[in-house]
Amino acid sequence: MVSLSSCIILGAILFTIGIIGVLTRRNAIVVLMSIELMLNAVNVNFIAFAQHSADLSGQIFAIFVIALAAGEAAVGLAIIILLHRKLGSINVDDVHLFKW
Amino acid sequence: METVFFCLFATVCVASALSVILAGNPVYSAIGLVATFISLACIYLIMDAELIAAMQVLVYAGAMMILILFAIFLMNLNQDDFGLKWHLQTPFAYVLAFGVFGEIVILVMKYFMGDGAETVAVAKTGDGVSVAAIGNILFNRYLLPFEIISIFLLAALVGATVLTKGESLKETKQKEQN
Repeated sequence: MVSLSSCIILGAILFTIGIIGVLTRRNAIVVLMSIELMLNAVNVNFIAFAQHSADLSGQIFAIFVIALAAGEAAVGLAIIILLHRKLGSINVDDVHLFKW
Repeated sequence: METVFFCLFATVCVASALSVILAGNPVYSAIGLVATFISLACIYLIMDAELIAAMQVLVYAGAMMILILFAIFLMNLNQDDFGLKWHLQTPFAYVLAFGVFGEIVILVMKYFMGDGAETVAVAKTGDGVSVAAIGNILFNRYLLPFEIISIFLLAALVGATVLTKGESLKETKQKEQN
Protein backbone atom coordinates (compact mmCIF):
# COMPACT_ATOMS: atom_id res chain seq x y z
CA MET A 1 0.00 0.00 0.00
CA VAL A 2 1.77 3.10 -1.25
CA SER A 3 1.06 6.16 0.85
CA LEU A 4 -1.70 8.33 -0.54
CA SER A 5 0.22 11.58 -0.19
CA SER A 6 3.05 10.25 -2.38
CA CYS A 7 0.61 9.39 -5.14
CA ILE A 8 -1.04 12.80 -4.95
CA ILE A 9 2.34 14.54 -5.07
CA LEU A 10 3.33 12.47 -8.11
CA GLY A 11 0.09 13.48 -9.81
CA ALA A 12 0.73 17.12 -8.93
CA ILE A 13 4.27 17.00 -10.37
CA LEU A 14 3.05 15.49 -13.64
CA PHE A 15 0.23 18.03 -13.83
CA THR A 16 2.66 20.91 -13.32
CA ILE A 17 4.99 19.61 -16.02
CA GLY A 18 1.98 19.33 -18.33
CA ILE A 19 0.91 22.91 -17.63
CA ILE A 20 4.41 24.22 -18.38
CA GLY A 21 4.46 22.23 -21.62
CA VAL A 22 1.07 23.51 -22.78
CA LEU A 23 1.80 27.15 -22.06
CA THR A 24 5.42 27.34 -23.18
CA ARG A 25 6.04 25.11 -26.18
CA ARG A 26 5.19 26.39 -29.65
CA ASN A 27 4.90 23.09 -31.47
CA ALA A 28 1.23 22.05 -31.64
CA ILE A 29 1.98 18.34 -31.32
CA VAL A 30 4.08 18.88 -28.19
CA VAL A 31 1.15 20.88 -26.75
CA LEU A 32 -1.10 17.88 -27.44
CA MET A 33 1.37 15.58 -25.72
CA SER A 34 1.48 17.86 -22.68
CA ILE A 35 -2.31 17.68 -22.48
CA GLU A 36 -2.00 13.89 -22.41
CA LEU A 37 0.48 14.29 -19.53
CA MET A 38 -2.09 16.28 -17.57
CA LEU A 39 -4.74 13.64 -18.18
CA ASN A 40 -2.38 10.94 -16.95
CA ALA A 41 -1.74 12.93 -13.79
CA VAL A 42 -5.48 12.94 -13.12
CA ASN A 43 -5.56 9.19 -13.78
CA VAL A 44 -2.87 8.63 -11.15
CA ASN A 45 -5.03 10.48 -8.65
CA PHE A 46 -8.08 8.39 -9.51
CA ILE A 47 -6.25 5.08 -9.15
CA ALA A 48 -4.64 6.17 -5.87
CA PHE A 49 -7.99 7.01 -4.33
CA ALA A 50 -9.50 3.81 -5.71
CA GLN A 51 -6.85 1.84 -3.87
CA HIS A 52 -7.11 3.76 -0.64
CA SER A 53 -10.86 3.80 -0.25
CA ALA A 54 -11.33 0.26 -1.62
CA ASP A 55 -13.88 1.65 -4.04
CA LEU A 56 -13.60 0.59 -7.66
CA SER A 57 -15.26 3.75 -8.98
CA GLY A 58 -11.87 5.41 -9.29
CA GLN A 59 -10.76 2.77 -11.75
CA ILE A 60 -13.99 3.14 -13.73
CA PHE A 61 -13.35 6.87 -14.01
CA ALA A 62 -9.79 6.13 -15.13
CA ILE A 63 -11.19 3.91 -17.92
CA PHE A 64 -13.41 6.77 -19.04
CA VAL A 65 -10.53 9.25 -18.94
CA ILE A 66 -8.40 6.94 -21.11
CA ALA A 67 -11.20 6.56 -23.66
CA LEU A 68 -11.84 10.31 -23.74
CA ALA A 69 -8.14 11.09 -24.16
CA ALA A 70 -7.91 8.70 -27.10
CA GLY A 71 -10.86 10.32 -28.90
CA GLU A 72 -9.62 13.81 -28.18
CA ALA A 73 -6.12 13.03 -29.44
CA ALA A 74 -7.56 11.70 -32.70
CA VAL A 75 -9.60 14.82 -33.36
CA GLY A 76 -6.77 17.09 -32.23
CA LEU A 77 -4.34 15.44 -34.61
CA ALA A 78 -6.87 15.78 -37.45
CA ILE A 79 -7.07 19.51 -36.75
CA ILE A 80 -3.27 19.81 -36.64
CA ILE A 81 -2.97 18.02 -39.98
CA LEU A 82 -5.51 20.40 -41.51
CA LEU A 83 -3.58 23.34 -40.06
CA HIS A 84 -0.41 22.05 -41.65
CA ARG A 85 -2.16 21.75 -44.99
CA LYS A 86 -3.39 25.34 -44.89
CA LEU A 87 -0.51 27.18 -43.27
CA GLY A 88 2.51 24.98 -43.90
CA SER A 89 3.68 25.11 -40.29
CA ILE A 90 2.35 23.87 -36.95
CA ASN A 91 3.76 26.68 -34.87
CA VAL A 92 0.92 27.92 -32.70
CA ASP A 93 2.24 31.45 -33.07
CA ASP A 94 1.33 31.36 -36.76
CA VAL A 95 -2.37 30.75 -36.12
CA HIS A 96 -3.50 34.36 -35.73
CA LEU A 97 -6.17 34.93 -38.36
CA PHE A 98 -8.62 36.07 -35.70
CA LYS A 99 -6.24 38.69 -34.31
CA TRP A 100 -7.57 42.20 -34.56
CA MET B 1 9.15 -3.00 -0.74
CA GLU B 2 6.32 -1.47 -2.67
CA THR B 3 7.57 1.96 -1.75
CA VAL B 4 10.99 1.21 -3.29
CA PHE B 5 9.43 0.19 -6.60
CA PHE B 6 7.04 3.12 -6.49
CA CYS B 7 9.91 5.58 -6.02
CA LEU B 8 11.85 3.95 -8.85
CA PHE B 9 8.99 4.11 -11.33
CA ALA B 10 8.00 7.59 -10.18
CA THR B 11 11.54 8.83 -10.87
CA VAL B 12 11.50 7.34 -14.37
CA CYS B 13 8.06 8.87 -14.93
CA VAL B 14 9.03 12.39 -13.88
CA ALA B 15 12.31 12.26 -15.81
CA SER B 16 10.61 11.23 -19.05
CA ALA B 17 7.84 13.79 -18.50
CA LEU B 18 10.55 16.45 -18.26
CA SER B 19 12.05 15.16 -21.49
CA VAL B 20 8.66 15.61 -23.17
CA ILE B 21 8.64 19.34 -22.59
CA LEU B 22 12.37 20.00 -22.84
CA ALA B 23 13.38 18.05 -25.94
CA GLY B 24 14.05 19.93 -29.15
CA ASN B 25 12.88 17.28 -31.54
CA PRO B 26 9.18 16.29 -31.34
CA VAL B 27 10.17 12.66 -31.91
CA TYR B 28 12.22 12.77 -28.70
CA SER B 29 9.19 14.16 -26.91
CA ALA B 30 7.06 11.31 -28.24
CA ILE B 31 9.55 8.67 -27.08
CA GLY B 32 9.69 10.35 -23.67
CA LEU B 33 5.90 10.22 -23.52
CA VAL B 34 5.94 6.49 -24.27
CA ALA B 35 8.37 5.99 -21.38
CA THR B 36 6.05 8.02 -19.13
CA PHE B 37 3.05 5.91 -20.07
CA ILE B 38 4.82 2.62 -19.47
CA SER B 39 6.21 3.69 -16.10
CA LEU B 40 2.73 4.87 -15.13
CA ALA B 41 1.38 1.44 -16.10
CA CYS B 42 3.94 -0.14 -13.75
CA ILE B 43 2.77 2.22 -10.99
CA TYR B 44 -0.82 1.20 -11.62
CA LEU B 45 0.23 -2.44 -11.21
CA ILE B 46 1.67 -1.57 -7.80
CA MET B 47 -1.63 0.08 -6.91
CA ASP B 48 -3.73 -3.03 -7.63
CA ALA B 49 -5.16 -1.74 -10.91
CA GLU B 50 -4.25 -4.49 -13.33
CA LEU B 51 -6.94 -3.82 -15.93
CA ILE B 52 -6.12 -0.10 -16.02
CA ALA B 53 -2.42 -0.88 -16.43
CA ALA B 54 -3.17 -3.15 -19.39
CA MET B 55 -5.48 -0.55 -20.93
CA GLN B 56 -2.85 2.14 -20.43
CA VAL B 57 -0.23 0.17 -22.35
CA LEU B 58 -2.63 -0.85 -25.11
CA VAL B 59 -4.46 2.42 -25.70
CA TYR B 60 -2.01 5.12 -24.65
CA ALA B 61 1.45 3.70 -25.29
CA GLY B 62 0.25 1.54 -28.14
CA ALA B 63 -2.41 3.17 -30.29
CA MET B 64 -2.15 6.86 -29.38
CA MET B 65 1.62 7.17 -29.62
CA ILE B 66 1.69 5.35 -32.96
CA LEU B 67 -0.91 7.86 -34.16
CA ILE B 68 1.11 10.82 -32.93
CA LEU B 69 4.36 9.46 -34.37
CA PHE B 70 2.77 8.88 -37.76
CA ALA B 71 1.39 12.41 -37.74
CA ILE B 72 4.88 13.76 -36.94
CA PHE B 73 6.47 11.71 -39.71
CA LEU B 74 3.84 12.49 -42.32
CA MET B 75 4.06 16.22 -41.80
CA ASN B 76 7.79 16.52 -42.55
CA LEU B 77 8.44 19.11 -39.90
CA ASN B 78 11.26 21.59 -40.11
CA GLN B 79 13.05 21.48 -36.80
CA ASP B 80 12.60 25.14 -36.01
CA ASP B 81 11.30 24.63 -32.52
CA PHE B 82 14.21 23.76 -30.28
CA GLY B 83 12.91 23.20 -26.82
CA LEU B 84 11.75 25.84 -24.43
CA LYS B 85 12.15 29.39 -25.61
CA TRP B 86 11.55 32.61 -23.76
CA HIS B 87 8.29 34.27 -24.80
CA LEU B 88 6.29 37.08 -23.29
CA GLN B 89 4.03 34.68 -21.43
CA THR B 90 6.71 32.31 -20.10
CA PRO B 91 6.99 33.89 -16.60
CA PHE B 92 3.19 33.80 -16.24
CA ALA B 93 3.21 30.13 -17.26
CA TYR B 94 5.77 29.27 -14.59
CA VAL B 95 3.93 31.29 -11.95
CA LEU B 96 0.67 29.52 -12.73
CA ALA B 97 2.24 26.07 -12.87
CA PHE B 98 4.11 26.40 -9.59
CA GLY B 99 1.09 28.04 -8.03
CA VAL B 100 -1.00 24.98 -8.82
CA PHE B 101 1.73 22.69 -7.53
CA GLY B 102 2.17 24.66 -4.32
CA GLU B 103 -1.57 24.64 -3.72
CA ILE B 104 -1.76 20.85 -4.01
CA VAL B 105 1.26 20.39 -1.75
CA ILE B 106 -0.26 22.69 0.89
CA LEU B 107 -3.52 20.76 0.75
CA VAL B 108 -1.75 17.42 1.10
CA MET B 109 0.34 18.59 4.02
CA LYS B 110 -2.61 20.13 5.82
CA TYR B 111 -4.74 17.02 5.42
CA PHE B 112 -2.15 14.33 6.04
CA MET B 113 0.28 15.87 8.52
CA GLY B 114 -2.39 17.79 10.43
CA ASP B 115 -4.21 15.00 12.19
CA GLY B 116 -2.38 12.02 10.73
CA ALA B 117 -5.54 11.10 8.89
CA GLU B 118 -4.35 8.30 6.68
CA THR B 119 -6.94 6.22 8.42
CA VAL B 120 -9.24 5.68 5.51
CA ALA B 121 -10.51 2.19 6.05
CA VAL B 122 -8.75 -0.03 3.59
CA ALA B 123 -9.11 -3.70 2.99
CA LYS B 124 -6.11 -4.93 1.07
CA THR B 125 -7.91 -7.64 -0.76
CA GLY B 126 -6.72 -9.25 -3.90
CA ASP B 127 -10.11 -10.57 -4.85
CA GLY B 128 -12.14 -7.37 -4.93
CA VAL B 129 -10.18 -5.85 -7.76
CA SER B 130 -10.52 -8.36 -10.51
CA VAL B 131 -11.71 -7.74 -14.01
CA ALA B 132 -15.00 -9.43 -13.10
CA ALA B 133 -15.55 -6.91 -10.32
CA ILE B 134 -14.85 -3.98 -12.64
CA GLY B 135 -17.16 -5.43 -15.25
CA ASN B 136 -19.85 -5.87 -12.64
CA ILE B 137 -19.73 -2.20 -11.70
CA LEU B 138 -19.20 -0.93 -15.22
CA PHE B 139 -22.26 -2.60 -16.68
CA ASN B 140 -24.59 -2.16 -13.73
CA ARG B 141 -23.94 1.13 -12.01
CA TYR B 142 -22.05 3.01 -14.71
CA LEU B 143 -23.97 1.75 -17.71
CA LEU B 144 -25.09 5.19 -18.89
CA PRO B 145 -21.59 6.71 -18.94
CA PHE B 146 -20.40 3.60 -20.76
CA GLU B 147 -22.96 4.06 -23.52
CA ILE B 148 -22.21 7.78 -23.74
CA ILE B 149 -18.49 7.02 -24.08
CA SER B 150 -19.22 4.71 -27.00
CA ILE B 151 -21.26 7.43 -28.73
CA PHE B 152 -18.46 9.89 -28.05
CA LEU B 153 -15.90 7.56 -29.64
CA LEU B 154 -18.14 7.19 -32.69
CA ALA B 155 -18.42 10.98 -32.95
CA ALA B 156 -14.63 11.37 -32.64
CA LEU B 157 -14.08 8.76 -35.34
CA VAL B 158 -16.54 10.32 -37.77
CA GLY B 159 -15.24 13.81 -37.00
CA ALA B 160 -11.60 12.93 -37.59
CA THR B 161 -12.49 11.18 -40.86
CA VAL B 162 -14.61 14.07 -42.15
CA LEU B 163 -12.02 16.68 -41.18
CA THR B 164 -9.15 15.10 -43.08
CA LYS B 165 -11.11 13.82 -46.03
CA GLY B 166 -9.96 16.35 -48.59
CA GLU B 167 -11.41 16.32 -52.05
CA SER B 168 -12.57 13.13 -53.62
CA LEU B 169 -11.69 12.32 -57.21
CA LYS B 170 -15.17 13.25 -58.43
CA GLU B 171 -15.03 16.68 -56.80
CA THR B 172 -11.61 17.40 -58.30
CA LYS B 173 -12.85 16.50 -61.79
CA GLN B 174 -15.92 18.67 -61.32
CA LYS B 175 -13.73 21.59 -60.36
CA GLU B 176 -11.59 21.07 -63.43
CA GLN B 177 -14.65 21.06 -65.67
CA ASN B 178 -16.02 24.30 -64.21
